[in-house]
Amino acid sequence: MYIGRVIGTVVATIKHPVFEGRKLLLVERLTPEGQETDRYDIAVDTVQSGNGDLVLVIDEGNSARQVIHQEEAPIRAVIVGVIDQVDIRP
Amino acid sequence: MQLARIIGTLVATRKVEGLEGVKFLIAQPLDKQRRPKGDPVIAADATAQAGYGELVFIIGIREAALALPTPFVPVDHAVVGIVDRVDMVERLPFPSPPAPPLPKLGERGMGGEGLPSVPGCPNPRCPDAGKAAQVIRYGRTRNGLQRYLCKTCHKSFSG
Repeated sequence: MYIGRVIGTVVATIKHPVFEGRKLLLVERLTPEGQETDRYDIAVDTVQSGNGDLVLVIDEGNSARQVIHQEEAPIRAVIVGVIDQVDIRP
Repeated sequence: MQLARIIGTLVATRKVEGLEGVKFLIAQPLDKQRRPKGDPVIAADATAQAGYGELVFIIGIREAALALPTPFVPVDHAVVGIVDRVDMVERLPFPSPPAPPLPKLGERGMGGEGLPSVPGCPNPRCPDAGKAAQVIRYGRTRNGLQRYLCKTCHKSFSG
């Protein structure tokens, strides 16, 4: 799992049926210290997160399918939590 | 899933079993600012509607195989949606700033800023002169003007 920040919303009318009714958020991947990286994902939101939120993202297919309760869904990145606080001790 | 731009199509008549009828697109992956990043990939079109120049999102590896109508065809990238638009937000600091502290019970302002404030005590000899925290409303004059009482020095006044 990684820490991400929601930086946008992807709107797509034509898409695979599994995405119908689901929010697709553009999430940039951060290091645990909060630095931006080059990586990002379009992730399916399952916790009503919104713009600017710090979120917990799973980027693994089996887990994603488990989270949305669909066995053969072409989904890999899902937002599974909204982060309240990060505490790192050196 | 990642954003990509369709830059071409590909036709292959002879191909492995399982890929019959699959439309192949050449997709250039993009970074979050929608600039090209990395090498283009050949992706199967799971939307059946994506065309040249469109902004799409693609998925890779196993999930690509699940995206097509007949699952588990041998593909490693698939176009699973055509993007109408991307709404970006303004940046917030990390971590998100904490919520402002709740006012303590008993402090003025708790429960609504709609409460009108009381004036400070006008008695110059009062230990709390000028302060309003110990002032309470104390009825009204015949004319309807609000009366106040300072609980420290017991001075009553109108205002």
